[in-house]
Amino acid sequence: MENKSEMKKQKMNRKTIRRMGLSLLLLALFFMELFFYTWCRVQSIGTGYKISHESDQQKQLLMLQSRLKVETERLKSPERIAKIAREKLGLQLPNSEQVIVLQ
Amino acid sequence: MKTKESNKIKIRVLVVGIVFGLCFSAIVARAVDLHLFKGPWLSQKVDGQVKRSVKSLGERGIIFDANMGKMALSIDVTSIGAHPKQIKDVAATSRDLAKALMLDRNDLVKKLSSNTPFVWIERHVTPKKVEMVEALNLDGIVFKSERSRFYPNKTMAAQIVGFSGVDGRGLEGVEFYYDRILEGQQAQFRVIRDALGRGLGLEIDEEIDHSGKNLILTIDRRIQYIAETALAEAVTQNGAKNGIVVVMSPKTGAILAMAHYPFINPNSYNQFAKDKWRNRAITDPYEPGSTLKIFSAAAALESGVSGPHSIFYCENGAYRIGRNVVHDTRPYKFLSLEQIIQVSSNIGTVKLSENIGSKNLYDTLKNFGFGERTGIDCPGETPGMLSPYQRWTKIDNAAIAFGQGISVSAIQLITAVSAIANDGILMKPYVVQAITDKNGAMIEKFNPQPVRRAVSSETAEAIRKMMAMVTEQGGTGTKAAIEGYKVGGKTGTAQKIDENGTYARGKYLSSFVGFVPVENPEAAILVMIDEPQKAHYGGVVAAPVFKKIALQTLNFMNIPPDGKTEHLTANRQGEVKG
Repeated sequence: MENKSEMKKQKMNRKTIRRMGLSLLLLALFFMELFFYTWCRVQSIGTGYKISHESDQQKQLLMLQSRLKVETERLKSPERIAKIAREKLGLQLPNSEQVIVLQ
Repeated sequence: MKTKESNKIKIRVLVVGIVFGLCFSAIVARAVDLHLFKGPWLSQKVDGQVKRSVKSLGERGIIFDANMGKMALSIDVTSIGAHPKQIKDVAATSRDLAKALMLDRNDLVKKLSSNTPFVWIERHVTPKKVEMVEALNLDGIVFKSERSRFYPNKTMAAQIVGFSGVDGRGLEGVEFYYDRILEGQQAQFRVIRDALGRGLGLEIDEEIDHSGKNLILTIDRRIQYIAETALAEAVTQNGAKNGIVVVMSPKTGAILAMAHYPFINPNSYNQFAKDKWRNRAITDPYEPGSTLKIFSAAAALESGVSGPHSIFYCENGAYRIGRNVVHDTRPYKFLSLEQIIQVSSNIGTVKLSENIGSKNLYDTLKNFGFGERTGIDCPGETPGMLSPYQRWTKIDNAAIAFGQGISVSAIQLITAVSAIANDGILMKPYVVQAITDKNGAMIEKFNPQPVRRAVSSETAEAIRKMMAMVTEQGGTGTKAAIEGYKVGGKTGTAQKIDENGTYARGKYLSSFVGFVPVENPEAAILVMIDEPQKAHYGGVVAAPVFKKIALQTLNFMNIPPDGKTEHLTANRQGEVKG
């Protein structure tokens, strides 16, 4: 009789342990999901900051490119080139006798 | 005893369970309420707190010259503004800002003391000044990035390209005329920010290109430079008031250069008087003077009343018409029509006009486009003034024949002369040859447009020959002659009309209009020098400018001198290293 109740108790304990294990497993899964979700959010925000930073960088570089383009235009101006040709290289326009037609 | 205790525990567990259950149910109920019923409202509220909608204008299109050199482009600049309510010490802030930006301190005090939430301190500030203000680290002062128009060639072609204002709208020239094409469209962005105001990236609502379209001009900045340099030199040397040069391709009507002196710098247009802003070659009418005689000669040939060799008696230098006496600069007896043009005889032209008749002269002038707008794609074009021939008196007929009592614009004159160079076909002048998108892909191309045949091919050829005689020995325009090239042209010396409507003493408009080479004209050039002080004849003041521009333009266009037989044949062989 006692053995029977002991066996019943043991059976009950095993059931409780199994239930607790399952609960713990579910809880662990829940926490894991929570951590995973949090990690994703943190990553997403971090990436957002990175994108924002890179966008600023891109804007800065585009501004630099735009300034360099302006500088190129200034360097290519006919006024500057004519001045260099005249003053530094000593060039002048040819008169009609000096023109030779290339074919 | 044990059962009693066990029951107690069970009750406690039940109570705790019920409490937890109720709490959990409350949480679930709240979660359901927040997610299902208040979800959209809360999302909207969050959006309002972290997302900010920003409207931005797409970049204004670039204006290129014919060789894709940039004439106008947009650059990023910084503007400085202030939130007056955030400024603690207005006096100190005004003092520091005034020093850094070189502004009036009292004006700044007024601005910074205002009740408005935001005021501009200075728009489009130089990077150096921005650095200085940033270093001051002032409360309530903000820096905003804006787009500003920049003209890298400074004064070059300023009146034709025009300029746009601080708000990015075109105010003058091509910038104004093509404003709708150049302007960028409104773009909407959503900026996501965290609680500290740091950016978390951009959300663009629509993936469309908001940039304005680019324009490609017919203006070649190298020819423009040639024209501007020669014009500036001539105006300065002659102590003149101002000057205009127009270079046109007679076969197409494309404007290759359009120079005005004094120059203006569109980057700081406010520093120049407003009357210097406009494109006077398009907007201002002038009495053309003797340059109009070529069209009277064309009318005579076209109507068949005389040929190039018809002889006219030129009255020894003075000819009376009613109460008026017409003079020549030198007395002539008999001159052929060719010689009348060559020596620019007023009396000869008057005699010619009497033969032509007012209707024929009027019709020919109309056919050349006088008295109506050419339709050039520039703002504010004047139609000039050519009154109907029915209203002409005898003296009007005579005066119009030699360029008085009629007003024309520089663009009308060069277009009409180009028609003679182009075998009698009048072309529509234009300054924009194409519209492209941001990446340079062609959207629209403007092809040359013939307007009408102004005169027959034979008449045009005869007039070209007469114009060539003007630059030859005995003509009034010998200073325009270029060695190795045959030049066709006509001088003009028009007395200017004063405020009272009478001819002003000592105020002349000296001009020369022509084309080169005569056999196959590639460039038509008009030079107008306003109120020269040292000399006033077109052949003395304007013809040398024509020569200088024509010679350099021909060189630049690789047009060899006439009869150039010496040829060098070059052949490249092998690989080029270096």
